[in-house]
Amino acid sequence: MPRKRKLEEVSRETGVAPQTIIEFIHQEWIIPHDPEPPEQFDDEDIARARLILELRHDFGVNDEGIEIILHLLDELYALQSHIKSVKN
Amino acid sequence: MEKDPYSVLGVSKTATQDEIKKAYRKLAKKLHPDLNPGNKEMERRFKEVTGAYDIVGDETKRAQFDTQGSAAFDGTGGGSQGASRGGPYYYQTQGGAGGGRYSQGFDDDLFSTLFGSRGRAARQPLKGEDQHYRMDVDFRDAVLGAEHEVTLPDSRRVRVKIPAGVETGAKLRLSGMGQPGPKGTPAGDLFVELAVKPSTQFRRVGHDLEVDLPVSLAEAALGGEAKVATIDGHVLLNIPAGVTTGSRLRIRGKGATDRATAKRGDQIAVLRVMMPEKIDDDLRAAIRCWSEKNPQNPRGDTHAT
Repeated sequence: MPRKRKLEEVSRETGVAPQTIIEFIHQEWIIPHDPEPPEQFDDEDIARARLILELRHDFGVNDEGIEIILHLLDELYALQSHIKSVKN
Repeated sequence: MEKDPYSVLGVSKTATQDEIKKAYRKLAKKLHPDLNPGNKEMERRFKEVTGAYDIVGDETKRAQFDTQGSAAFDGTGGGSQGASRGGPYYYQTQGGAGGGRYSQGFDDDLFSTLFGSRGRAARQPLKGEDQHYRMDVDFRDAVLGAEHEVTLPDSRRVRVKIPAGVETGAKLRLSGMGQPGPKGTPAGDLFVELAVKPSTQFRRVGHDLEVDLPVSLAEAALGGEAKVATIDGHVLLNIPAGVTTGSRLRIRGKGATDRATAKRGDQIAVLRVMMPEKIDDDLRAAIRCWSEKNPQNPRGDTHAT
């Protein structure tokens, strides 16, 4: 069972302000592993939050761009996992 | 810190913050682990580059580095690097057996188109049948959007959200609202096809709404103001002097929503000049007097024999 974290812990680990994480959730860029607080977030949520922050701050991608990139990445990973399952 | 952050980023020691940022972005875009999943060399270089940027990308830390050298950052992993750059990269959370949660939203249709019918047969889960339903929508609801509760033929009631700007033929998909699936498998989808009822007042032309606007002879000749109905309520429209039947006046932003851009079209008032119902002696005299001095041939030679 992956370890789950609270909003404050995620914020500390990623350096993303809690308010910003809540904004990501409203944008539906992050869908918390568990819909109910407090321990909602797993590794995947956290890595995704960090990725969004990097896209926004380090690369200067705007919100529309972030949406497109997330969508394409999700699609790419879905395809990769499917290819893996076909190979096995 | 083994390497000089300036040389890692490929900038000079006198580079401006802006130049450093640009150099960093350029490298990071190439090296980001999520764009090169599994490439360890790229990942190592990305860490090096972000570590360098964490120092010289920040003016305070950069000054500290310039005066004290890398010693100031030894053991801290380059300032904030330890805190904000640690942990798995996104791609590393996506490699599990079934892939990540976020990538599961892509349904089997995608794969069956790519991998042929074998994929579909093998992967398509059993689910309830899709249902189709046709629904009449008032003109105003189609332009502005609305939400309605409808009763389906099987007497189930569902809420249907009509997005602003839809036209006849638009299909809405309500996933999971179709027939329940056999033995606990997911329900099918409900497809609602919309038929927009015409309006007696508005004509939809693309994203614009046209209305006829009768104006008096005086308003047409001298100008004036008229109250005009729009889909959002009345507005006062300024009529310039000298308009005629067929003149088109634009009322911005009162049309239908363009669903691609979320912007609204315009309303177009198409004018129709109305003669007074009763032509009295005064008017007759005035017009006769005017027209004798100003002969007018509105037909040009279009009806010449």
